[in-house]
Amino acid sequence: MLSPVLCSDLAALEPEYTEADVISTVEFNQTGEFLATGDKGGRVVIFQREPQGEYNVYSTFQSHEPEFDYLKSLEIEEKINKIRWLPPHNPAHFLLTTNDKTVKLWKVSERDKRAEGYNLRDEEGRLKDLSTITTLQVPVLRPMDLLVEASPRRVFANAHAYHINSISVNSDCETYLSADDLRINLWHLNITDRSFNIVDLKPENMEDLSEVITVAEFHPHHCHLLAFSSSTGTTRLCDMRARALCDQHAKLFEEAVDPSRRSFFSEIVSSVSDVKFSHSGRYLLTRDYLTVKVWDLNMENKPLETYQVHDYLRTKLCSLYESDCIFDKFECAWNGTDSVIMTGAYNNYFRMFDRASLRDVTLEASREVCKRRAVLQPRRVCVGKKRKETDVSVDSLDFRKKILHTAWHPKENIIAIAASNNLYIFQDRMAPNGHHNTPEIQSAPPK
Amino acid sequence: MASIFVVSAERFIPLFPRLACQGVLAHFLPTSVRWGRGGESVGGACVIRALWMNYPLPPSLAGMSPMLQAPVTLVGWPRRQGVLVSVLWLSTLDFLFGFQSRNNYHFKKMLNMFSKGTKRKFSDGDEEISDESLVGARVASSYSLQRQSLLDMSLIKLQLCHMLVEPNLCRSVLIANTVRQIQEEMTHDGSWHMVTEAFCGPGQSPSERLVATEVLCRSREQDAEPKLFSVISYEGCREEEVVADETLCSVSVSDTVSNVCLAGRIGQCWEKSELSGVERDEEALEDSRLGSGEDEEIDTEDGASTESPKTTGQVFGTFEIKNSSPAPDSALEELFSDVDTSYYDLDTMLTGMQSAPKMGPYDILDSLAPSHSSPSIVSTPKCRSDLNELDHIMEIIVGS
Repeated sequence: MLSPVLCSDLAALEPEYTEADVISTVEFNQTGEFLATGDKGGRVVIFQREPQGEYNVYSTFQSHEPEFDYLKSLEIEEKINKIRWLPPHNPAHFLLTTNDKTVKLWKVSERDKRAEGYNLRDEEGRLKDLSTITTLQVPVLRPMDLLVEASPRRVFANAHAYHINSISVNSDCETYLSADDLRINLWHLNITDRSFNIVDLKPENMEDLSEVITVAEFHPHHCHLLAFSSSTGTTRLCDMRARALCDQHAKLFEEAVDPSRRSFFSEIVSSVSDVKFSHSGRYLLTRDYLTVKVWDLNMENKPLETYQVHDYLRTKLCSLYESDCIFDKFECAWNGTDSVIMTGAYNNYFRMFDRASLRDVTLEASREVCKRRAVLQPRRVCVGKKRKETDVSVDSLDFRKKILHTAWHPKENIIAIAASNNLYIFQDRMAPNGHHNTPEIQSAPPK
Repeated sequence: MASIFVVSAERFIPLFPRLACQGVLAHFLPTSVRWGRGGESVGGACVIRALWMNYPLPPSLAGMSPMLQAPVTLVGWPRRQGVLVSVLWLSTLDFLFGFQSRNNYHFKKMLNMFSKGTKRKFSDGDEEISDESLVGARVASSYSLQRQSLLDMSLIKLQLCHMLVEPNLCRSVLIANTVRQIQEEMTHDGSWHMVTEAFCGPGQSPSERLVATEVLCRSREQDAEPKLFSVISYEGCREEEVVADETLCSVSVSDTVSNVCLAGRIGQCWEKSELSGVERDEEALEDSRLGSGEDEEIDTEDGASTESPKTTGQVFGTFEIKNSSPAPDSALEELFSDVDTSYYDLDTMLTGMQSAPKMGPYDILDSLAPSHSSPSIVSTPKCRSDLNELDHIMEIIVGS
C-alpha cells in the first residue's frame, strides 16, 4: 500500500477561516502538472508542480461572483462546484469552472516576454511625438517576469433551472456536458447561446419527483457514452447514438437491496454521490454514503467489488440523518493504473483501497498530524473497546471535519486532499522523485 | 413591534408568556401570520428580540441569545379545540425551537436542531430514543415511537427551507421519499387506523392531541362534522416562504398511543405548484375521507395512494380528527379562569394592538391584516386588546 508523505502543505496558516475559503473542488489536469481548486467564495487557485516535486501557487482568479435571481428572489451561490480541465492543445491552459447556474471557460496563459521598441509609442505607452521619430525600428522581445493571466473565454449561462452538480468534457475535446438535478445538457465549447438537452428526469408533476441526478460523466474514450447516477442509488449508462434524448438508458447499474435489511435510511444511504470512470474505461467507480463500489461496464446487476468506507456508521444513521451529515456527498478517485481507489470520510480521514491485494488503509489529513516529510500513520476506528492505543472510538469522530473532495494525479502516486480550507498534497514515500516503484504494503491488517 | 398571540375562540393564549416561562421575554415583530382554520387561532412568526435583561435567562438558552435575534418562522401550529397547543415550532435560520406543552402547559424546549452539522443527542427527558436502526426486532411501541420521531424530524427538515439560497433539491427529495416510505409502512400496519380510532373513542386522553392540517384553508361546519384544521398557504409568497409556513406539526405522545402525523405538501418544497389544482385534489381526498367516516382508515389511505398521480403529492394524506367533546384540562382552566376571552378578537389582533408599556409599540399586525385573513374567520364581538392584561397573565405564569 502506499505510504503517503506530505510534500506540500498549502494550508492556511491561521486556524480561523471564513466560509468562503472552504475548498469545494479539486482537480488535476491531464498531465498532472497543474492542480486546480475552487472554493466557496468563487475563487480558483491553480497550483503548478515545481521540478522538485512540490506544488506552488501558479494563478488565482475570481471565477464566479454571487448573483441574485430576481425572478425567484434567490441568491445564486458563487461556490465552485466543479472544475474540469480541457485537454491541452496549445501552450495556454483551459479549464471549465461552474457554480450552481453558470459554466465558464477560462484561459490561463503565461507571458514571459514583452515587446519593446515600438515606433509610435514609447515604453510607457504614450504616443511619441512624431517629429522625434527619425528611423524605423523593429520591436524586439525581451524577457520579463512571468505573468500568468486568466481570462474568461466563454460563459455558458441560463441553461439550467436547477443546480449544476457536474460537468464533464467529452473525449472529442469539442463538447462537454453539464448536469443539474434533473437535466443534462450537451454543449459545444465554442457555442455559448445554446445547448442540447440529452437527459431530462423532470416529471410532469413535480410532486411525483422521487429521483434526482447526482453526478454525470462522459466516458474517457468513447465519445458517445455517458454515465449518470441518481439519488435512488442507480447509475445509468447512456449511448448518445441511440437517440437524441437519452432518458432511456443503455445500461442500468443497480445492486438489489436485501429486503430484510431494508431500513428507512436505505435509500438515502444508497444515493450515489460520485461516479468516476476508470482510466481504462472499463470500470465504473460509484460512491454512496457507506461504500464505494467498482462496477464492470459489462455487468449491470451487481458491482464487481464493494468496499466499506465507514461501516461503523451504519448504526448511527439516525443521528447522522438528524444532523444532515447523511446527505454529505463524498467524492472518489482512481489512481493512474486503476489499481487503487480513494475516497474521503469523516474526522479528516480518507481511505484508500488496493484492489489487487484487498488491503485498505485509513489516513488522516489534519494540521496536527501532517508534518512535512513525515509518513502518515494509518488510523483505525473501533466500535467497541479500543484494541490499540492509537485506535479512535466512533463516538469521538468529528463529523464536521469531512473530506469530501479528493483527487489523484493521473499518472503518479500523488494525491490532493481538501479538508475545509486546507489542501494537502501527499506523494508516495517510495517515489519522491516521481518514478514508479513497487508500492510497499503498509496498511492496517485486512479486516 | 407587535405581539403575536395565539387566539382561540375559547382561550386567549398569549405566545410570549410561554417563552417567558423559559425566562425569555421576547418582542415579536411579526413576519408572517398563520390563521387557524375557522379563525380559531392564529399564530405568528416574528423576530424575537430577547429582553432577557428583565427576565432571567435559563442557562440552556443563555448561550443562544444571538440566535434569538433572528427572524423566526412559525413552523408548526397544531391545535385542538379547547386545548392549548401541543407543540409549537419556531425556527430561526439556525435553530429550531420546539415548544411542547406538557400537562402543566409549560412550553418546554423540546428540540434544538442545528441546520448543519453539529452532532447532537436527540433525547427528550421522557422518551428514550435509540440511535439504532429501525429495522429489527423491537418493542412495538418503541419502534413506532422511533418511526414517529423520524417522521417528525423529516417533516421539520422539509420545512426548513426559508433561506435565501435555493434549498438542495436532492436532499429534499430524499427526505420526502423517506417520509413517503414511513407513511406507507404506517398505513400497511394499520397505525393510521389505530390512531384515528383513538380519537374517535369517548374516553380518550385529553393530553396532547395531534391535529390534522391541510395545506389550504377549508371551511367546515362546526361540530356537525369532524373538524379539520387547516392553514392557508400564501399564494403570493415565494416558494421558500410557502414551504416554511406550511403547517406541519406532530406531537410525540408520551404514552404508547401512536401519533398521527400531519400532512404537508412536499411538492411545494420543489416548486410552486398549482394551488388550485392541489386544492381540488385535496378536496377529493377530503371528501373521500369524510365519506368513509368511521370506515377503515386504511382503505381510504390506500384509495388515496392509488389515486391519480396528482394526489400522491398529498402522500401523507390528511386526517380527520374526530373531536369528541373537549375534555377540559383542569390546569388550563385554573390558569385562565380569570381571563376573559371575550376581550380578544381576531379582528383586533389583525387590526392592531394597543401598546403595552412593557412591550413597546405594536404596529406590524396592521399591515398583515388584509392579506392573510382566512375566509372563515369567526367574528366575535369587538373587544379591546389589553396588553396590560397580558402582562398580568405573564406575571402569573412566570411567578408560578
